[in-house]
Amino acid sequence: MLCLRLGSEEAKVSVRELHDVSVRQRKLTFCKTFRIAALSMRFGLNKRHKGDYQVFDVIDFLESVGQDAEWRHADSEALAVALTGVQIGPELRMAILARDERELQALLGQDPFCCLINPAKPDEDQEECDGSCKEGEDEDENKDKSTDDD
Amino acid sequence: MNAIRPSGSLVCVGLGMTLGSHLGPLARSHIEQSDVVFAGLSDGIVELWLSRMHPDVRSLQPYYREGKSRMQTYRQMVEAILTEVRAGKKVCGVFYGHPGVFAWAPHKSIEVARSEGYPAHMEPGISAEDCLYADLGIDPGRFGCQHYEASQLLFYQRRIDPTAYLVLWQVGLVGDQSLARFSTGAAYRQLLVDVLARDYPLEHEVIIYRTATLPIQQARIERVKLCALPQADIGMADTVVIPPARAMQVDHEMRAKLDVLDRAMSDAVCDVG
Repeated sequence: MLCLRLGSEEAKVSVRELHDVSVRQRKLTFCKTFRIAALSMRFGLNKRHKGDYQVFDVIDFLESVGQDAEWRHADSEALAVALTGVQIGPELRMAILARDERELQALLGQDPFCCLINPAKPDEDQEECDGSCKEGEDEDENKDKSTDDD
Repeated sequence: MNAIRPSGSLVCVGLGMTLGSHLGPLARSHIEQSDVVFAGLSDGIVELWLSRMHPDVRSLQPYYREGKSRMQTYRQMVEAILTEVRAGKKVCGVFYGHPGVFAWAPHKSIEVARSEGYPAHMEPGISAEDCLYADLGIDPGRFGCQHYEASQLLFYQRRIDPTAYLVLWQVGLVGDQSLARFSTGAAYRQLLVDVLARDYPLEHEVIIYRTATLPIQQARIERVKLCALPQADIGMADTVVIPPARAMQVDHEMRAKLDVLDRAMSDAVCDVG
């Protein structure tokens, strides 16, 4: 065990060194953990895409980045380091490093989502009819639903 | 004799805004322990992530269609959720952000489920509003903060307080009376600017804000003048934040009354002593 006087130069240097080691270690752990997870899981999210993506699990990668204080706000250089040695298609790598959500969605076979879940008109009459409602709307609704469900 | 309690149940939880960063342990537990999960999310990639947590995740996204009233879409969402509750299933509705903030379907689903005798409740999540305070460094307690669905400023006569922050949601489709469009446009935003110009100078700086959905992104924070809002690129996920334009005015009359009250309270304490 190393005993140092609190506030001394030696103590400050040691704390800094310990911190640097800790950060390096966490980076290594993240990369190692992520690569193991990536290699052990089948990508398989976008069947249209080829085998070169199959060892990379982009959802697992994003979850790992989102949960890690070191990586959540990491710059592209650090992300590039995290992806070093991972078998990943060039388009996917580029989309991640460019932080290009649209491209990433397209590569994963996802269309942009509608995120509106709130009407502007709060009172029930206006909710029920915006002036364009017609008799038999329920039939249309059912038709929409069955079509959507298909 | 007690009535037989129906076996179905409903909980609506929030997934937060950013993939991987915001989901709380209780919400995750509800997702994992339910029979059926319905997903009302803002991004397909986030939905793929949710699908990892449960084998039966049903997207509510197919109910949307441009040209179809969103009220019809929202009612269909509620019906889809309630159908499974009535079938005796333990149902979890997962919505992006906070399931109860600017979200009609979760509130309605819980209301209907309860009215039919099913246990139903909501667990909060991290909303876009929460992210906005962090990303923009705004404390709503400092000057106060008003939140409006942007179209309400055009549909109704609302009173704006320009000494507080004003946050406008769904500006990208402001003025859409049909509730069937995914965006309106510059002419509609100009009407919004006309309304805001009653309380703010046209040169006043406003902020266009969008929370990061993926953890590799950063929030969009773009400052423009109020008069430039119609020409700005504003989508359905963007929010407009208008900082205070005037200082708060001292209420001299009420302060005098408070002084009188303080003195009376102080005298009463002295009398007791």
